[in-house]
Amino acid sequence: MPILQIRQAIRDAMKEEMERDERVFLMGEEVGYYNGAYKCSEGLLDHFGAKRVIDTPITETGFAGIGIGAAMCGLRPIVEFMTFNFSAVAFDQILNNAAKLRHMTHGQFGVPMVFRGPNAAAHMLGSTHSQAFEHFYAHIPGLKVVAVATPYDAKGLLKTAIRDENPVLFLESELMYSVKGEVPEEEYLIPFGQADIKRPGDHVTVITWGQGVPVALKAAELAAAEDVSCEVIDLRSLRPMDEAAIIASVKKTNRAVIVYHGWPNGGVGGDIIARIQELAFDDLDAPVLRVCYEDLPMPYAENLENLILPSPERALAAIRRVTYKR
Amino acid sequence: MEDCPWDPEGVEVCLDPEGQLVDRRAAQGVDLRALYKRLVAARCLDLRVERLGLPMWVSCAGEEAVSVLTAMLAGQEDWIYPGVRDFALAPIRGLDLDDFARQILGTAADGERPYNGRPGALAAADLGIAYAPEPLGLHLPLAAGQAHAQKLAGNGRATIAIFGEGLTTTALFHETVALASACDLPLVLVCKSQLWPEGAPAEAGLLGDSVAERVKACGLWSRRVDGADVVAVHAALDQALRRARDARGPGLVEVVVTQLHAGSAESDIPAHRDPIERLRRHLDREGQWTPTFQDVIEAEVRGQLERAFTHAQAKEIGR
Repeated sequence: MPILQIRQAIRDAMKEEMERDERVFLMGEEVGYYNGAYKCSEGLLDHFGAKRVIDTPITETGFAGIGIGAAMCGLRPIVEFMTFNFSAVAFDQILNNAAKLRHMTHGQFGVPMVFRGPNAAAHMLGSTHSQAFEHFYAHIPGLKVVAVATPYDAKGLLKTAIRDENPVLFLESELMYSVKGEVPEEEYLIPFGQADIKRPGDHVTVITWGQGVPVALKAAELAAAEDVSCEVIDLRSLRPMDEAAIIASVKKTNRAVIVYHGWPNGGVGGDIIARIQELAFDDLDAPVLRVCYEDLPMPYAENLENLILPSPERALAAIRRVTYKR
Repeated sequence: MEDCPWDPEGVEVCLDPEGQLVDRRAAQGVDLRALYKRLVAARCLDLRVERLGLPMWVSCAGEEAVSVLTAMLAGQEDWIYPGVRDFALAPIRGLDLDDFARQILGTAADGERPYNGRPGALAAADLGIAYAPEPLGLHLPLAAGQAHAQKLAGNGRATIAIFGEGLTTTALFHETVALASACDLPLVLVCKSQLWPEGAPAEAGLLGDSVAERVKACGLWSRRVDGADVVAVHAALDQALRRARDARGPGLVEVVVTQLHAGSAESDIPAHRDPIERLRRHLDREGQWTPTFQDVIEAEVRGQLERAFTHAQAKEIGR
């Protein structure tokens, strides 16, 4: 099976879908001539031409809106944000147009489109360029939110996102574009709302997604050395969320730790805990813990940033706490 | 002098590429030797910080006329809203070099909190320097708000905002221009534009004309000048600030700069695009420049910078 980087899997997904469906096009800053700020659209301008791979000026509000308008009229746009931090500029379009047009027009208009780009902290990018946006977007009815951590998942989920009839926020990671993995040559799709067990285990359920996945896997490895067996569940899609997979695992392990990028207040982590206590209250042997950012804007300084980010060591400490092995 | 694709067309030339003062009147009362020292110091500052290799740091080599002249021309009570490449204005405005180095490095003075901003995004509230936000254009309406406050106070003070032409396609830029025009604010917008002889990318913000021309249509007073011609930049900024302080309305000065830092793709940029070199040629013609003069300025600035960065790096907290 071919080994690809995540950026290549993303490119292949876009290329295949653009070949399959002429309504699909890509738009964003530096997606064409520069092949994408992180080279996710390498070769697409040459292959499809400037009509379908569109370099935009610095106009996030505008091109998010143009994408939505094109989607309403039957096209299937992929809008790339150079980072999801820049989606803040386009938030009104996403919140009030993309998410609501189907509802407001009694289904006369749909918004079949994808907003994609890197999300969350990378390395020394400071407080305004290090934010995790799934917590904002997963809050909004009318949107779907996906976060990927492997080339296989990236390709299968992006193809599903492009074919979806509703707006999908597709979250990638600047630090993980070079992560390699097997990707089948034959076509495949991964449905939304289906978690993937990245590592089976019996003692603690570790729930994670996106950039949290490598942290959780490393923590599970450290825990294994202490004879604690962790089941690492990669949610992959946050809205819809695979509640059944979470609950099945928690009923087995009776303990859960959630590892993710983002702040503790509000957000997806707290939402998962709410679902666990609602659906598996009697199965819990310990409080469910979160390992995420400290409740602070991200500092630029490397040593301070490292204190705020979720790390395998911090995740291991939480695993020890829920197993009462402090 | 041959036509050069890096030189802006249709701008008034005060100091020509050979360093000849075409418009002596424009330089009247300007101490060009003192200005030269400031420009050299700004370049030394840039090179010193670049050596640190900090993520998100962007060099401003070639753009010094804007930061240096803004700092020199802004009144004590005027406010400046800089971009992240305009850090050189802070020491001229009085920011202590130790503090400058701590802000760049994100370290803390004894008993104080460390700085968390991106390197280059300096702030000094006591010196009238607002924070340079990283998201593009976020500082423009803030500057308009400050200008509005100045206007309400009726104190005859101006507010200056500095930015690059890439953000002139954003809604925030257009909204700020609309507000400044509608409310007749004492606001001076300083836009640094680049020329793109090899063709501009879409995100350069070029819309077929100059930014100065574009804002004229919105009722703003504007001038377009060459950033390599410090005398012309001085004249335009001075006029814009006087107008704002005299309640004659907002203005925009578009300064065409050529980026000279090592990372810039072009290597065939002629020396006269460097504002420092052009002014040096002038001083040389006038018998006011010698290699020793140059060495003394550089040695002095480098010494001060070394001391400041050594102090700042000795702290435990920081990058």
